[in-house]
Amino acid sequence: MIDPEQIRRRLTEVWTALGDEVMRACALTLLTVVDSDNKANSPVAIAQTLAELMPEHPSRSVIVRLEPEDCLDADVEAQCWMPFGQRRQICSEQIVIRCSANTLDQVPGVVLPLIVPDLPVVVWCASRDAFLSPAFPALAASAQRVLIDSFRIPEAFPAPGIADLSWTRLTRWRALLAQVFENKLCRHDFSTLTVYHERSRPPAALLFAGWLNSRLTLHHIDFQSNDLEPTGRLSGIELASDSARLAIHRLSDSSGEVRLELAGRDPVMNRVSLTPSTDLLLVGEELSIHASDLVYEQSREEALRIGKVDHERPMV
Amino acid sequence: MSLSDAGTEANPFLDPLRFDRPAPACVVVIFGANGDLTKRKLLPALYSLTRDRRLSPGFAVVGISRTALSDDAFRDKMREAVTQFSESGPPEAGIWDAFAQGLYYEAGNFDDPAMYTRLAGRLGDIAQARQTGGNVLYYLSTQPSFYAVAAGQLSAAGLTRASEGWRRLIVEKPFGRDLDSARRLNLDLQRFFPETGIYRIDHYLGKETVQNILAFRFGNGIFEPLWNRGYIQHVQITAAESIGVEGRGAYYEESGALRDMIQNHLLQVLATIAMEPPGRFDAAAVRDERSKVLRAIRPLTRDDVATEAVAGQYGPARLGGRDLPGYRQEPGVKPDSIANTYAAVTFSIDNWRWAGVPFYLRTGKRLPKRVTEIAIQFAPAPLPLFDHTGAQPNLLILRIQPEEGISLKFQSKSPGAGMHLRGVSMDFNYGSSFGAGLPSAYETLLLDAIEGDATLYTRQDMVEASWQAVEPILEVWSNARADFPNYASGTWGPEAADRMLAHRGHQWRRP
Repeated sequence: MIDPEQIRRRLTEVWTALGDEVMRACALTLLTVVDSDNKANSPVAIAQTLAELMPEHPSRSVIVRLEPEDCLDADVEAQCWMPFGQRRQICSEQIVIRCSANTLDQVPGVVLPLIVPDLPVVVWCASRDAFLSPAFPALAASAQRVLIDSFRIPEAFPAPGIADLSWTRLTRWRALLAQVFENKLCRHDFSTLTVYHERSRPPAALLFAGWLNSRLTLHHIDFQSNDLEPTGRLSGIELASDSARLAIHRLSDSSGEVRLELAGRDPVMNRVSLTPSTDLLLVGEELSIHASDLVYEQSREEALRIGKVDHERPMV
Repeated sequence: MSLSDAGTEANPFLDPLRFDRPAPACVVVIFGANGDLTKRKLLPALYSLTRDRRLSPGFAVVGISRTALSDDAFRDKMREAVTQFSESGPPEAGIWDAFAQGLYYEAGNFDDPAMYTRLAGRLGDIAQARQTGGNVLYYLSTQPSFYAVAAGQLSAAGLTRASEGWRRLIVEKPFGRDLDSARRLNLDLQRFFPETGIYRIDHYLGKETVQNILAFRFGNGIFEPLWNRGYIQHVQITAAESIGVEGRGAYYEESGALRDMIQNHLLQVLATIAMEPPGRFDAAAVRDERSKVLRAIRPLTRDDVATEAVAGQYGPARLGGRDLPGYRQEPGVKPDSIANTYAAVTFSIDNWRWAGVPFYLRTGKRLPKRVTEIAIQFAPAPLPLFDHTGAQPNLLILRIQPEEGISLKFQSKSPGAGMHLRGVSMDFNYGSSFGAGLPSAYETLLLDAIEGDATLYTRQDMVEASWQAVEPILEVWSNARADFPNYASGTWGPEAADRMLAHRGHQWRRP
């Protein structure tokens, strides 16, 4: 059993015990849903990610942990860190709610009174079971944004109304193309796109094609896979026209190369950084966004058309 | 969308929600590439911008200095510099490799035309190889005496004009050492670059917390109605250093605290606090308003200087078991030096918003702590309803460094029987709300210059207006007999500075 009032009292006790020496920080309520037995995205790994997110996005963190056995209980604790060069510790609060598939439908009623007033609420769902549960829409209803990684939860692609971390993985690639196109010499009537990806085609590949097709008039789009283990990332892209070819290829985990070939000129090659897209970076980027993402919506619709995917599932 | 008319088409890939507009590809040419500023600030800032993906993949740097060095040797030196001085620690291998690919070096004297001919060849090759579009930003990190020389030589070599792309020039302070020399320097530079292409850097304006003053004032509706003589009693701007001149004795002998800090940094901060709201947030509108308020500063008469300005120089002291030398015992300093290591000035602004509101500015070396802050003291409540014995004034503190943030001090009822008030503080701490490290001032300002945004750079009229404000003080002080040293290291400056406020019934805040 969980009594939200008791959790709130416990929060007060935690802060009283910490005293005046620490500084309390909170910019949002972050509700994270995890499976306790998920090996690929374990509660320990997610807890670590949340702890690292706190300095940049201090939150009241509510972790809903889906256990295999029947349960419904909660713990409260503070997370503290010492900012570089400062003298006072900064702390934010964390509430862990353990529940099962059977008790998940009672969680929204527990969470609602725990939401910090006047601040944004974000739900990050890393549990496929929770996402597919009929109780999930009620949990998501309290949030302005719902984050899901369609690479790990394929059923979430391309559901409207969610922020997809597969899309967030593309930010660096999109920013690179934008950088290249700032140089007007590089702007050509590119009509052919090839997207290179790992063994099975990740949602990111389709979203990237959708994004480009919503920006350029492409006549031909091709997807080519390699033998690399799937990680959800792109391996490379190539744009071509009659007189130009622009390619960006990943060379390693952290770097890539931009190659531009223009008719009658020597090719131009530049090394660029392509840092791995960790959950920390992906969720951190999404937590910085406070407006609806129209570019994503356009790209998602184009991706649907290109992939002839129709897995729309109403969300909240 | 067709991109055949690529010359005028907007970049279709921009997504302001996710990433800032990429800076255009360009070459930054640094004169004085072996100097301290390059190693400590410029290269670490450019590397950080690359790491944060703010620069174009084709971005390049050409370092210029007298010492003969190969490109590879320059890259090694710069890697050492970034490792030593970057706040984020040693560079990451993949990112450094991409960055270092765009570092080049050219040896030569700044007054040698042959060096500029070689530079022209280098810039042509780089533009071709890295598609920089002919954009070049010259950074004069040299002795000020070379500013006009380098600008003239660049012009003679045809490097100040471009058939494609832009050419810009960044110059470091000091912009002259008085009004006359500032005017001459401006004329010299404007012979070779248009004013719109000259970026006078004042790194204080690039500090995140100084920019936050604009956000605080003009992004909120509740403060601006109070921001005037009707509610504000006075303003204190403090920039204190706990260290001494630390090997810069020879420089301080020539400049002093008034020239080094107040004429530029602190008057720019004053302008940010006191300016009118601009009609829009662009370089021309913001700088117009800053300039207007600097020109509205009432010039001090010779008599005013005696009561409204205080010079100081620190003496020796024993602090925490350490013997600290006085200024006159520092290397490179004359034993009878009259250079000021402390300066405090009361400025008045002659406009409707600020008439009668004193702005107290102070700066000094070897003060008790390193702190830069603005304290805005509000007028007391018009009717004292409660027992106000010991009541503290309402204060709004804008902390620029360290522990950047904003505090509002107000009165609250003490718990318990009776109506006793006590001062309490409502604090906003930049670090606790945003967590992420703040970009350095040089990162902000270099990126702005590459993007052609001069909002945070100082314009000619602003430089001249600030010199006009301090010139009467310089004149009086240069001819006066100074009874130095007049404050001990580790104290808040000379007693005369306290008297400067006391005659209006005010006192310095202890930060």
